[in-house]
Order: sequence, then structure tokens, then C-alpha cells
Amino acid sequence: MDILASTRQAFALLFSGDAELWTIIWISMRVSLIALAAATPPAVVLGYALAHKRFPGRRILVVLIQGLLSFPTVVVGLVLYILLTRQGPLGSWQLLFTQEAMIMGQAVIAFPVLAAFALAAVQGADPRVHETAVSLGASPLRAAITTLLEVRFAVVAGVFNGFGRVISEVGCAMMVGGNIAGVTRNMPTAIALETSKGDFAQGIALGVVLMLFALGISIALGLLQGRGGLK
Amino acid sequence: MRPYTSCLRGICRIGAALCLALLAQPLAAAELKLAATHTLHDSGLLNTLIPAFEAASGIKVRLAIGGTGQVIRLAANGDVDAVLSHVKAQEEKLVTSGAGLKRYLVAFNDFFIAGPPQDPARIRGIKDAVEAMRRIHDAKARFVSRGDESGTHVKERELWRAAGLEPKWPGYLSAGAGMGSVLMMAGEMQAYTLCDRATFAAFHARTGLEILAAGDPRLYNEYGVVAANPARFPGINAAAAAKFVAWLTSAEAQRLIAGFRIGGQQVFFLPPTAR
Repeated sequence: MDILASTRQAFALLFSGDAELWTIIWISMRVSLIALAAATPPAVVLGYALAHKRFPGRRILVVLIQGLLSFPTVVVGLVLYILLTRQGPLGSWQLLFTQEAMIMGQAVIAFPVLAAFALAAVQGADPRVHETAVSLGASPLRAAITTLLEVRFAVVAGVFNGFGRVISEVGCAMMVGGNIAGVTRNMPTAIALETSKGDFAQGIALGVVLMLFALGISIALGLLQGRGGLK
Repeated sequence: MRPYTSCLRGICRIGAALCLALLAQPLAAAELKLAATHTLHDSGLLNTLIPAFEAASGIKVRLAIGGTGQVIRLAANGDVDAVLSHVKAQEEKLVTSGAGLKRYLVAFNDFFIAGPPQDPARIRGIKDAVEAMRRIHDAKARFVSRGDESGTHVKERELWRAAGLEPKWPGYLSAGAGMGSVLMMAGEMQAYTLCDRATFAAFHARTGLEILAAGDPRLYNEYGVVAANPARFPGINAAAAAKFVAWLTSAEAQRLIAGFRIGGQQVFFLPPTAR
């Protein structure tokens, strides 16, 4: 009975354009998209290099990235907190409990996902693509771009997966963001808070939005892969 | 093939034993589910009281820590056997609604306004908490609010209401966190915050904040305990809850509470009737 009432309230909140709720959704989107935009280029370059180049320490890096895939986000939060605290080495930046700190954390969390997907994508590419590009006189950069364009669906799948990981991440966001209303309160931290207040309606509303996001991502991925297969 | 299957069987056996062990644990009979507020836990008082109760009664305590809003909700839903919190009105509502049996006063202490040593809003030494909050508001100084519907948050809102002010300026930050986290944040941001004496003493060394405005009688903080009503919630462990309530108000527990020290300071005081 309580659940039903809370759920009804939740949908009322969602459709009434509740400012607080939409601020939380906006902050979530903003932080996660900026973090992905920052992490994707270096991660894709690293993934490509690991797939294509032979250099000392390459295997160690590959193992490291695959290990980082399941790295606990609270540890990322802990390390970032220690770096950013007033007494920490980066304390003078005064970034603790800001969106910038959350963006840094999410970029670190998304990085291994993006790199691992790019690595697998390039490794799975038809080697003739690269060879043909080179034989047609393409520079190494041009050949790299051609290869990455060829496997763009797999790389984009990595971006979606990275987004899925950071948009729903609560540990690091809570620790370095501080869950400040209207500033660093995103969907996961808000849900945790509403539950701790015993106020379930807003938690359910945000949970619905998060699940719609997850569903949307999976539909988008499906569409992408479908078209990738057709080509 | 043989060694593999026997190895597999061994693994299955270990797995089954583990599952059984995990399943068996919550079924232990003598167990008390207790909900308590952050302030009690962050201060370290529960770490003193609970082992003493467990030793005295043989009952194992399972703790759920949350803000007052959350622990009251747990009690109202019959999810716990007893609740320890510090908003008298809400505890009494548990009793009148039939979810709880009777409220017992366990201890009290006080709230005050803590802040950075520089004191940009110049509130040091002010006794009137409402006046101190007004100065923080007027100075547009940073203030970290609990923002979690906890007892402390309720008290803070009472002060804003008494001052006739709306706490809405860029430096007013609603953290939605426990007292310990909020003190750490306030320390990081050199902000003011409303705090209870016990948690402040426990975190003092780590935050660098100081007690700036204390002594307002409006900021008394009463800790009460309510056992769940077995007539309403048949599933609860009423015997354990009754024992806990009786023990908390006993001379032994009261001696522990009054003797509890943080940094050499008494931070919980006994109610007048028990002294």
C-alpha cells in the first residue's frame, strides 16, 4: 500500500515538472557527459595503440586495463578525496565537493571501459583495412582513423557502456561530490538520500528515470548494431 | 575424468556448506534489531553501550544507522525491534500511532553552531542561536546543512523559522548526510554548521572547526528509546526489545552514558529524573 502510494507520487512528480527533480537529472547528465567527453579521446588512442603497436609493458597495460574494469568506484573516490582534501597535494585547487571533482572521478571510472572496448574493437577489425589504407599511401594517423571508423560501432558500444557505468555510480559521486542539493546531487546519490530520509517517492521517480536511461542505452545499442550488421 | 568429478563434488559440498552457513545466520534466535541515529553512532557511544548490553543479556544486536527520518520510518514499518533517536515529537508519534510501546528518556546533550576559527560572520560568543543564524545569513557565509530530515536538520529549520529567514543563498549547502560527514565537509569548506556536542567532540581533531555559538536553551537534544509494539508487529523480538529498554534505563547503562568521554569531555548527560 505504501509502495503503491509512493509510486503514484513518483509519477506525479515526474510529470509535474518538479524543479528539484529535473535539476538532479540535469546535473547527472551534465557531469556524466562531460566526463565521457574528456575520457573518450585518450582512452580510444590508448586502446588503438595497445591493439596495434608492440612496445615493452604492453601486456602489463592490457592486464591492468582489464583489471580496472571491475575496480571499485569507492576506491577511486577515496584516492580522489585524499588528493583533493585541503591537506592533500591538490588541496589548493579547492575542488572537493564540486562538480569538477565528480567529473574527474567519473572520467577515471569510465576510462578502462572505453579503452578495453576500443582495444577489443581494433583487435577484432579486419587487418586488411589497415593494410589497404597503408598500401594506398595513408599516413599512420590516417590509417588509424580509417581503422577506427571501420570499427566505430564497437567503439561507440564502449562509450554507451561507460555512460551506463558512470550515470548509475553512487560511491565516488557521494564521496567527492558530497551530494549537495542543486550542486553535486545526482540521480544515484539523490536516491540513496531519499531512501535514508524514508521519503520514497522522489527515489522511485529517479529510479524510473535511471531505468529508462538504461533501457534507452540498450535500445540505442541494439539499433546501432542492427545497422552495423546491415551496412 | 575421475579426479575432476570428485574435485567438482568437493567444491559443490563446500558451496552448499557456505550457503547453509549464510542462511543459518539470520535465524539466530537471541537477536535485537535496533535502529539508531547517526549522532549516537558517530560519537562512539553505541560502541560502548552495545557490547555492554550484549555481555549483560546474551542478546546479539544488529544495528541499522540512519537519520531520524529513516530510523523512525523503520520503526513505524515494524522493520526493527527498537529505535533510539532524538526527536521527541516523532518518537511520541510512534507511540500514539500504536507502532511503539512507550518512550523512555535515555540521555540528553545540546546542539551549537560550529564554524571556522576565522569566523567571517562574527558569531563567536553569541548565546542566542537565532541571532547567530541571522548573522550567518546576512554575511552570506557558507553553511552546511544536514538536509536529511534528521533531528539535527529539524532543529536547524526551527531556528531559520524563528529567525523568519529562508535559508537560500549560494553559500547555503544542503548535504543530505550524517553529522560526521557534514562536519568533515564543513571543515573542508571552512563553513558553519549546526552540530551536536557528542559528534563534534568525536570529529574535532579532524575538522579544525570551533564551537562558536553555544548555550541556547532551544538547542537541547533529548535521546529517547521506543520499543516496537508486538501487538501491531507480531514478527518482532519483543522480549529482546523490552530487555534493551530496561537495560538502557538501568543504573549500569546510565553510569556508562554519564561516564562516556570524548577527548576527556562528558558529552552525554543524564535526564534529571535518573540522576
